[in-house]
Amino acid sequence: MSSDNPPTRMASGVDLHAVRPYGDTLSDGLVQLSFSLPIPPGPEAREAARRLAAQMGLNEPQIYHEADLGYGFSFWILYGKCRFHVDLTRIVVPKIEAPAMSLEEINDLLREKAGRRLRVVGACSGTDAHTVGIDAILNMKGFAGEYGLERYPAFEVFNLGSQVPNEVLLAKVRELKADAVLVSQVVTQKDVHLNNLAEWVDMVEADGLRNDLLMVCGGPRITHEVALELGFDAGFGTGTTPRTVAAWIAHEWVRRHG
Amino acid sequence: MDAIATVLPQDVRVVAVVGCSKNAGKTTTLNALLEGLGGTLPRPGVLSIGIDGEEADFWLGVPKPRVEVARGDWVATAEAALAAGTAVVEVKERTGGRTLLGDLVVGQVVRAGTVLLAGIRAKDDVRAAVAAMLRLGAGRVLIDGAYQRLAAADPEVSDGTIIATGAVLGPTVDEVAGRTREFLQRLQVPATTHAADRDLMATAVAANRLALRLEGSGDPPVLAESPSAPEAAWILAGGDAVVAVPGAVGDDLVRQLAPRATGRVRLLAQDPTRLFLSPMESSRFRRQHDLRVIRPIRVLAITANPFSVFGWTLPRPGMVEAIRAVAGNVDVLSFDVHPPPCPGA
Repeated sequence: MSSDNPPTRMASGVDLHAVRPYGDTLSDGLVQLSFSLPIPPGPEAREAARRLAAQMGLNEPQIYHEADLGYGFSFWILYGKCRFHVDLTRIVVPKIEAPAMSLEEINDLLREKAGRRLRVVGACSGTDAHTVGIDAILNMKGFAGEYGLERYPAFEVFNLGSQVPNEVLLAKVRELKADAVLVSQVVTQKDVHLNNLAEWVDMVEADGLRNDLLMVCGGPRITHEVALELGFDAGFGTGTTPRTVAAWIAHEWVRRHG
Repeated sequence: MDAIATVLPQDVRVVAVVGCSKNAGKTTTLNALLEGLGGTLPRPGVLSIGIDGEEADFWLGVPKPRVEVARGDWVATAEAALAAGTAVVEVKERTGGRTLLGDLVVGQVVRAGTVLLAGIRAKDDVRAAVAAMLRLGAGRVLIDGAYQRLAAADPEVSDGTIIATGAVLGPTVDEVAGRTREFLQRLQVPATTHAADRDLMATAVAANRLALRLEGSGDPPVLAESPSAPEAAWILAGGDAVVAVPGAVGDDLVRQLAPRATGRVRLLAQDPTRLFLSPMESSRFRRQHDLRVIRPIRVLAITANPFSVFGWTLPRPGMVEAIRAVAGNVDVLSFDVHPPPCPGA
């Protein structure tokens, strides 16, 4: 979202107990969706696209665009009216609790409260070799104009790299007496990241280290809620910048030990 | 549904429900337990080590069964989560635990409905919540697991465990039965029968290091940093040996141990929740050596869910029969599980 947008606020007249999409008028349920089909365009394919949209819960599905993708494939854009609504008042979403802090403020806080450098271990664990996320957060050069945690005097950072088995990560955490562990997971086919993350949490519990460790996970399909469900203390998704993670670690460490 | 309550012996006060996989049917099993215990006094308590009772699955977005509680039931959850359910809960105690959704509270249901169980993530938090509920008057406490995490099955946390399995594990009966067997084998690693093994484990736990001794030597145990350390190699080269591991047991550890052993090794873990061996490595190790625990898990029953959240349904009789064939003497129960309606619909 552009910073030129007005501050987010609730539109007037919205029934928070029955929130629906809108296209032309409030709560008309109108949505647009697109998909491709492994069949060439044609009258039967049009009807197939309409019926699929109806099975997705859309009333009055209408095709607005179709295209031949070649090799027997077709592309479709449809409009339809969503039959469902959600009760916003019953939705509880856990959110990261950490104040916005500058690099200097984070260092000052930990210098005063911890009196030592916090040891942060990071790894792309399991079979995952995609280190772009963990590197963006930890490496000195950082990401999005912010320095990574290696640049913070308050942190001593150990980036173990990619494809680190949970057992090896655990041994390193034990050896270094880490204060925080950041686990990055990018590959998500067949939910391999969820299996790996769940095993990691159980392994830390099994080794008796859970209470002394801030456990963080991150990745494109990670949300804070996913992280909590899996037993982590925090989860960070796409677009997270190093300062956000640094502030959370500092804030949470002080909350527990301060 | 009452059948499930009959698998709970009188001496089992704290029950963990763990899944062979996510979406295997843990919450359905929990609801069946709550319903089966419907007329019993004192009333049961319930908590989750993840997040349970939400409208939609956090990952797939599909509807999930809600957690249904009756008047008098006990719940432990984060205070802010109470607003997300339809049940009215009177807060009786704050455990002192602080979660990301506010204080961890224990309360009693004054009006039946649904509850969101959230905020408890670590084993110590579970223990504190269980202790508080039992002290306040809960008859039994049911712990809903998260994903396929096993922490709640730790015998120091729960007295017995119910395993939820089902069609979500695979599109064929054989695949479901095979993966259930692997899961069960992990949970049912037998207890050691040697009294001296307990002392060896106590030594390992106190030092937080591997403890090793030669079988029948009478020598004091040796403490090693790792199985590749020289002292470990010396012991393992001396004949039959016992190795106590205070923490997690993974593939790397047994791969280091096995080649150094000239005799038979009895590898001890505190309990099955500390075992993280792949089925292949576990099988390879156990062909020549022995794997034992100090505190075994008491598996009370297996619940089998023929419905998969991914869209297929397996034939119930065939699936139950196949799971019974791998379950040994563990009861296998099956429930009518149907996809609930879309949230908000």
